[in-house]
Parts: sequence; C-alpha cells; structure tokens
Amino acid sequence: MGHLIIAGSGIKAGAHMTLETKSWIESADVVLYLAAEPVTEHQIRSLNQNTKSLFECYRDRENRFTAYRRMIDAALQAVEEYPLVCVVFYGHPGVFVYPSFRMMQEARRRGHLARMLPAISADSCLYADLEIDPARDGCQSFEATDFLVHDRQFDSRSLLILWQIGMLCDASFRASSYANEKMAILVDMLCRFYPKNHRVIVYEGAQFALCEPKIHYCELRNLTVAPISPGSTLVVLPARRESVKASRLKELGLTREDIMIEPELRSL
Amino acid sequence: MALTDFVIRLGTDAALLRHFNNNPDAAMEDAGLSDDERRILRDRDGREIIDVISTPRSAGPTMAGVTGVITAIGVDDDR
Repeated sequence: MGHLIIAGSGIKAGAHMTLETKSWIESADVVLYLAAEPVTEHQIRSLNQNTKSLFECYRDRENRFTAYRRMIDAALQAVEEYPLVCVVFYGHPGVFVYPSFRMMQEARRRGHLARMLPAISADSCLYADLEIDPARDGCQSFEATDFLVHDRQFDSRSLLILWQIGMLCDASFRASSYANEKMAILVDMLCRFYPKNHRVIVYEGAQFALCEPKIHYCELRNLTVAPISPGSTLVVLPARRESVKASRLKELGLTREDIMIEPELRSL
Repeated sequence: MALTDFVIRLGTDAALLRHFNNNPDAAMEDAGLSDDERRILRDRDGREIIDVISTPRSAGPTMAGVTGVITAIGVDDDR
C-alpha cells in the first residue's frame, strides 16, 4: 500500500512553503511537482533528489482536461511504484486544482492512503494585500467562466471574487497568452448588478518576496482594457451596505450593542 | 544558482529582506551576485526574474499552475 501526499508550495516562492510540506517533500520517495516559476522548482529539487515535473503533461493549445488526466495517471503510477509519493502544486493544492482531488480519490480506490495538506492560496494573499476581511460583508468566490456558464446567483452587498479571469472561457492551455475575448460579456453581466463606474480590482499576488503584488483599480466598464494576466483575480467590492432591522435583531435575541456600527470605508 | 538561492532566502529571512529593501546593492554584494544578477533584482520585475532563472523543465511564459474546471450536471438545449 502506497501513501500519497498532496501539498502546495504557496504563492510567494520560497516564503510560503510550510514546514509541514517541506518535511513531506524531504521524506518522500519521489516528488511530482507543478511549479509556476523556477525558484519554487529549484527549492523542491533541493529538498529531494528524486523529483519529476508535471509541466510536461501540458501541450500548447490542448484542452487542459487532457493534461490533468496525464497528471492524475502520473501520480497513480508513482504511488504504485513508491511507498511515499508527494505531489506539489502551486498555491493551495485544494483551491482551484482539479486533478488533486481526483488523484486522492483514485489512489484510495486502489487501496492506497491519500491526504491533502493545507497551503497558502491566492485569496490568503489577496485579503492581506488589499486589507479586506471576508467576514466584514461576507464573501462569494467563483471561477469566472463558471460564473458565466451557470449564471451564478450572488449578493452584490457582499464581496465578490472571480478567479481565473485571465483565461476566461478558454479551456485550453496556452504557452503564450490568453485572448480574453469574452471579457465584455462578463462586464455586461456584472453591470446588471453594479453601476458601470463601480470600482473593481484586478489583483495578482507577488510571486517573489522582493516584488510587490499587482493591484489595478478601475471602473467596472473599463475592465475590458485593464492589464489582465493568466494569474489575475477580479475583486468586486460590495455595492452598498444596509442598516439592519431592529425587528430582526430582536427576533435573534441581539441588541444594538451586540453589533459593531462602523462608518463606510472611503479609502478603497 | 546563487541568484535563485538568494531569491529563496529573501522569502525566508526577514533580516535579509529588510537589508535588501534598505540597501539592495549592499545586500546583493554581500551575497556575491554578479552585475547582471544585481540589475535583474534591482528592477524587482517578477517576469524578468522568471525568464532569467527558467529552465526547460519549468514554467513557460504563461502560468503553469493547474486551474479549476467548469463542471455541470448536464447541458440542456435551449427551448
């Protein structure tokens, strides 16, 4: 029986890899990894002598599902051959990482042990860099294409995070860049719920400790010309805040003193 | 490899990062980086750092991380 560990390297190279993850990488008989940049790749290879990159699973312009199937098969083959296999993904291995869950499911079905380790994801960085507490107004998070495909219902009074806007409506892997031709459709959809001049943020966490995160503020109507990369995330601030009803507080057994009344933040 | 190790150390050694932020040239000289390496880090351009350090096995110009996928319980024809 093999043991499959699914881990994440975090967003900021070198800085975000947890001690727990480092220890599993060092202990593993083989490490499969998908790094978003070469510094993390170097770090992983310095921790274990037997490593293999999963980047080779990608083919330019091919549907990403096919590459993910190759990654799953590579992990399953490794866990049949080695007692302890560690697979390392960029960011958090369970946040917007389709193959990681399938690797664990299929490994367990074959009688192996499988476990995922937590890691730092892009939204962890986003809350810190943009100084947004997701608890303040609530937070809704969707994959951007999924948001359009399913016409997702959401509350514009809460924070809205749309992931992967840099590869909107494109299921293929692109070695160069993504066209983002469908951004206007996303803007039109959001304009049904927000004013056209509503401020939005295009965000990308810093990949290196010496670099700053990329934070671009713009009006919603100008999103089609905003600088968007494959790693960009769209943050839509709440449209408005509303007073709470005294009758609802009473019904819930709460008083005015139980809630914190704070003025609107104007800095964003 | 000195450049890569230095970038990793900047992420794990707060004293070194502070030294770099206060006096990048001194920090890079202490680390023994070449003139070219110092120029790259002085710009603090993540894309340039990736391009310089990249090997054929690592990420290309686009993000190589895996992504979420779109799932649905089915696709109905429009009526």
